[in-house]
Amino acid sequence: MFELSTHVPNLDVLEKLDLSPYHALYLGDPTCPMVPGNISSDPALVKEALDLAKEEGKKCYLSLYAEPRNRDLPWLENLLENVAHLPLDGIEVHNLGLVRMVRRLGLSFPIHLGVFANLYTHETAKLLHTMGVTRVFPNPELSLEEIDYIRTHAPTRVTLQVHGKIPLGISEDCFILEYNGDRGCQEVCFEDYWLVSGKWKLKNIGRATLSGKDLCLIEYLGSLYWRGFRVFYIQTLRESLEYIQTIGYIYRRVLEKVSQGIDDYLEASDLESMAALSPHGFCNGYLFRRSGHRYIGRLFGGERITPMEVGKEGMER
Amino acid sequence: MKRGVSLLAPGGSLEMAQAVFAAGADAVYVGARGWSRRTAQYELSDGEIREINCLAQSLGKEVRVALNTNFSPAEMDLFLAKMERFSSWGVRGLILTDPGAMYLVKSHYPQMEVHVSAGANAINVEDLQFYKEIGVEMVVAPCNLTVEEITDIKRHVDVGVEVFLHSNTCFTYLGKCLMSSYFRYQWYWDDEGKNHFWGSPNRGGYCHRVCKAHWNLEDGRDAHLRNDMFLAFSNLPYYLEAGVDCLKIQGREYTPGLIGEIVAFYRALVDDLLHRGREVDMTAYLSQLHQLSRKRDAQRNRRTFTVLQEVVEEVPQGV
Repeated sequence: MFELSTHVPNLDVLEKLDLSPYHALYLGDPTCPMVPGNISSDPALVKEALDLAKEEGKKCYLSLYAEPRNRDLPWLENLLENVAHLPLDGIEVHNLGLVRMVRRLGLSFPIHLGVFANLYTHETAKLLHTMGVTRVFPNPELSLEEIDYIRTHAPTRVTLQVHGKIPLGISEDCFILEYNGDRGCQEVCFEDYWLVSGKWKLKNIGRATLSGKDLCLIEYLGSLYWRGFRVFYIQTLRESLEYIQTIGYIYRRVLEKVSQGIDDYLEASDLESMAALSPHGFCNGYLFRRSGHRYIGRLFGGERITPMEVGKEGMER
Repeated sequence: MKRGVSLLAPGGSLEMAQAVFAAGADAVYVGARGWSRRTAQYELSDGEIREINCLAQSLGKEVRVALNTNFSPAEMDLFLAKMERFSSWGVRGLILTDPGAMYLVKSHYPQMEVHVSAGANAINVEDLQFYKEIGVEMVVAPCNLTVEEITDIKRHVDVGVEVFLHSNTCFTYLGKCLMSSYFRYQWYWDDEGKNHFWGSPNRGGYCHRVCKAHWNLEDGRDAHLRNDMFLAFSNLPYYLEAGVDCLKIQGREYTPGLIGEIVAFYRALVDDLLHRGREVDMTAYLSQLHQLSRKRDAQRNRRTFTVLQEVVEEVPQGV
């Protein structure tokens, strides 16, 4: 009926996490292969993670490193060859060269195009579909109408982020290491790094920079579902277990209600729990043609532009 | 050492295009208004593009038209109409970012050369093979790539490679940053129906350069989000030995006079290297480069102040 997924970077998180809310897991952290215990850096970890997650009945997609340079290609090819026989349900790829590599190796896994691949048009989705891409995660900068346009004009399924910090960029070097030269990845990788400029805040997780606020679409889930979206994703990289589980449970419960046609799905206690986990507040990204940091809606002190007004503007000028 | 390498220079205006041709550029790149990774001020109307194309043809030089934003899926028809017009005018070179758009162009207008923009962030051999297989002629290598990587790519992929000589690096990989539009982003349509997506460097070419604001870590330490000048001066002999096909100078937003000086400098250096190879005394060129870089930096800093101020004024309390 619908799918709710998130990323699980390593076995430690996988073992401690209550997986119940999620139908599917992206195994590995695509932002950096050096993340301690990164599942998608080692075929043995992939096997172990798969065993654990499959036991819980989860779909599993392997999430490959997003920005591979030439030096990364041999180990990525080795990884793919070594997981070829495993019961993976798909491979998440953020780099067009790796789409080619998956095909070149003759792997039959469905390919999911990840958020860092910069997909902006249905024509690219159509082209990539001919190369084995079955699912795409459009760039977060697209509006809801544009994402829906891709969903309805290309044969690929479309993933929609409904909660969590927005990936705002990915770099060549690790920002955290740059500021902690005397300490290694093992020690610093999972510490929180916030970039502050006046009252602006961004979160840095090493090579990737995330929004300071959490994207939150809970109040729009009903309309998103009835538009036809079925693949929902919560971004939880470097979040606490409590965050991953609590947010997962809330969205799973709400989506179950929505799919049963229940309109009155918001509960005050859920909103309070979510707010407690997002101290820097909420935004709904670029979906309503506004700056990414703004929250349009009636919850969380948001700006009152109704979805009806946004819808009237349509795709045209 | 490759003899056929071309020197590509910016054409942020008719005046600049004329200046760079006069200074020795082999080709000029111009942005179609609303479609390239710069603001409208430094882009050209279709009529101006036609004029520059005629000028280039009369001089035996080339024009590349950049439509390298990540435009809206709903703008695909507008894009194809533009292609039809440019094709009928004999425009031969395009710079694009969207792979679907590249594929459409090669299907409908096979005579047009497609160059993959640096904004597409092609960073490995497999990436370049991917683009080669959908029919492109040239790939612009992002500044991050090392000489070894460029050499590897030239060795393994039969596609043209363009490198930057004089440019800027970004805090993130080029084309992979949404920080500007996170803080300020406005939809704005021009008379042709093209959305300029103000505030998005990827979609509209307008970057507020928020990485250049004063950032701190929470513990109070200064945090430098790198966005610095990139000079490939010392790499240039190695690029030529690797067989790169095109050397690019960036800078549509600078003054035509300064860009003309920069082009003339690199024209002389490249010709010297092509003629004398490693015997060239690079230090003799270095002081001249430093002077040019200082002038360029001064112009860039003024621009940075303006675009950053806009977002600070828009979001004074921060977010």
